[in-house]
Amino acid sequence: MSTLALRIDKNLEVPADAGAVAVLHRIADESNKAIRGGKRIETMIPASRDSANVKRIDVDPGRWWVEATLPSGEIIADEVTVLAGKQADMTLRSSEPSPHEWLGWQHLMGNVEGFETFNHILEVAKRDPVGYARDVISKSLKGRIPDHVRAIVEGTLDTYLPRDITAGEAKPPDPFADAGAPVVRLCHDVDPIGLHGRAAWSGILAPSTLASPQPALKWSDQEGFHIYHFAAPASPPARDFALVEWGPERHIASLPLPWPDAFGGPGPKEVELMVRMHPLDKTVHLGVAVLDREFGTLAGLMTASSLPKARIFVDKARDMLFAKMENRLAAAAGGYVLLATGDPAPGAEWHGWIENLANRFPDLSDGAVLKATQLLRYPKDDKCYDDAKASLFQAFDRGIPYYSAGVAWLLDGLTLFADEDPEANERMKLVHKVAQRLDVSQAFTVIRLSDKAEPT
Amino acid sequence: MPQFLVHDEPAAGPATHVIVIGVGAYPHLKDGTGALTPDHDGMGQLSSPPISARAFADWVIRSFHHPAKPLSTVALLVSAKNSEPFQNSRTGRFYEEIAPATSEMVSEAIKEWKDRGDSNFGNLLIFYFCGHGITEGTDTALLLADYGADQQSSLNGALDFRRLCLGLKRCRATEQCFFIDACRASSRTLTDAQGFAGKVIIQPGRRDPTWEQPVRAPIFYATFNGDKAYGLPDTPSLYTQALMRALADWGADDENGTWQVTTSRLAEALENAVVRKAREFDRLQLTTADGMTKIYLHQLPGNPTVPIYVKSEPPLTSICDAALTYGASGGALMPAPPGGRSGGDWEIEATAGTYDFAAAFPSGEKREVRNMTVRPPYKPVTMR
Repeated sequence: MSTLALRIDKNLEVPADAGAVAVLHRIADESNKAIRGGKRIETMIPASRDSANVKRIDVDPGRWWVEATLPSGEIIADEVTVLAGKQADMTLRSSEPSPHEWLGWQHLMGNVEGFETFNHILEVAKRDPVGYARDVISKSLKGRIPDHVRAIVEGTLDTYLPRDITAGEAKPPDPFADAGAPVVRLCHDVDPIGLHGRAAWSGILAPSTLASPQPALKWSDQEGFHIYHFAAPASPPARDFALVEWGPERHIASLPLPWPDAFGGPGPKEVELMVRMHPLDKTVHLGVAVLDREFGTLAGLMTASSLPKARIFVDKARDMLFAKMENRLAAAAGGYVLLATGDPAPGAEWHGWIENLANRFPDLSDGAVLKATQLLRYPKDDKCYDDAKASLFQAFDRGIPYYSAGVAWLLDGLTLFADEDPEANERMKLVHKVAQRLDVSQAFTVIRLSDKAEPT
Repeated sequence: MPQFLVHDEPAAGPATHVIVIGVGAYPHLKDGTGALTPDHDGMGQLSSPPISARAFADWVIRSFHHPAKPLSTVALLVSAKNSEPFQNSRTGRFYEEIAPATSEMVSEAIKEWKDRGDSNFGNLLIFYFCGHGITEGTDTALLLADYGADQQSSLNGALDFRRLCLGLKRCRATEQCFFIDACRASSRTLTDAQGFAGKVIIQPGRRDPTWEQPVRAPIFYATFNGDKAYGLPDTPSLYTQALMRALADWGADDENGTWQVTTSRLAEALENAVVRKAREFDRLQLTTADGMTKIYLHQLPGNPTVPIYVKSEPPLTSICDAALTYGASGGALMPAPPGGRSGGDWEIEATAGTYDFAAAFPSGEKREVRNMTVRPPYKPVTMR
């Protein structure tokens, strides 16, 4: 038997066992004869700097095509020849490294672009606007009109756009020079009234700011990044939210705490919050990541186009996720992926897992949202709709879902019943106010509290 | 009332029904022909959406191929500065009058499209919109040609896209696919409207539980929530160009032995193609998707072409300064197209297969890479 040893080479403070989802297929046999439509192998690949941290897979000899999808959505594809009875090593790398080693997880999750792209954006932000305008016009014309015509047009630009507007003058101001730092407070809410029902949905938009500011763990003032780590000893029914303020900008992020160690390790995992300031458009972007080598990357995969790859993750890890449900938040993430990617056939095994999740954790809004959504997507009869509505009401009463999909699906579910039931309509309106402020690009619930800055 | 269909081919069983909406002329936005709405938010006239919509409709009629769900109908609604006829490339028929994309017309067209979808649970519905869009959180309003005509409620001329998708769960067709080529810029208009995000064309409600389940309905957005989608004047938008290429080639996979485009593969191809294209203009445009489930969309008539990105690593100088040649493995090498130089790499497009690459650098150094498999969605090649 031949073996393929796969790894992602990435600088991470905490290695990721599921650094990428890989699909392998054999494109040629030992004699290099092409194979079409052969069986594919789906697996997870670890990501770390440790060259010994590899995933070994027994394969038939021949040429193999390996396509790895990172939680950021980036696809790395390469091929390798595996000889009979031998091991072939394959190390895959992201097309661009993280801007900083300490942003490794945020880069892996897609919250930060790669080093080259990031520097390019930074350079564009700081560049002379006249030169920039010249570049854009020139590039827009390239290939669309003959070169000699383009040369004439570019020549006329000299009349209107001076070649070097900054000659002899000061450079454009550095947008980060007076950006300051964000203020981050941890709201550890143990008040059951404030966590549930209408109080939760109204209160999230006007949270208390009594908590003390948290110190940043790492930061870069020149680039607008601040990193915070949280490992609050929360236990249900407490909830932890990070309140972020920068100038007039205010955001609140639901922190997935406590996030237990799936293998009973020494205490729960840390949650990392990235606050990224964009001084030019006066906005703040938050990124939440769980530094858990087993399930931390699932949140990245469950957003946007990499969702089908998240399904592979969940299918591979379903025993760990759903058997004992030791990590209810990871199990909820798995539930979102299973429902979103769907199965054409109703009555699949996982339908029971979602029911269990809703019933075993009575303070978890996400579980009730998942149960309601499952009933709405696979209704057997009219009673399913009544049960779904009851579950939606339960989800509403349990408070703010940990996941942004939970807020969106709760809103969608309540919308279905809003015309026939005034109670559903009233709840829908409250959820809608929060949903309108939801950052849907994030897996975990992040809500903008301030109004958007007017464009300048 | 003008007819909406520019393609109508009866199908006995499951079939594909497409609706294409392109809005470029907005009388009540900046530089429009009507009274400017106070809710214009700086938005103005667009030249790209009518061209994009026509190009997409033409691609579907000319090239779409789904053996199990053949193309049956294409509805087209376009609002442009100047109206133009549309020619069906399969039948040759000219459609002199294309329905404008006003809220009244779009409502009618969508209801008819939904009725066609109801004819068979196996139907595939495809929705394409290109024009202005505004977004707040989970709400997206697609702005139609009469946006702002009602000065007291501009959003009467918009489509509540979230509720449209929810309403379509009451359509029997179990496969529905949405392409939204629009900005998703944030707008106070939506916040101030307190939950009203435009016309609700199909009221959300209970799907008949005796019908087939579930409805799978991926949504492809040209850009992230709150961001802009870009188009060059008088050409199809970056996203629509990429969408057509991804449908035609780059989104294909041969998992079952034939080259087929699925929604999941399409998303991957689109993401790469749009990012690269936008970067050429120093713009960042990231496509995204919702409800991404795998639906089989299109079968290719032959092997796909694939974008190949050749780059060099230091200490070698940029590949763009080298003489780059390539060719099918074992065959003669030919010069790479000079127009493929793009920033730090050299883009080539070639039919899926196995290739050799060779580069001669100004320093006199030479590098070769042999037997590289080239497959969709794209292939990076590095000279070291």
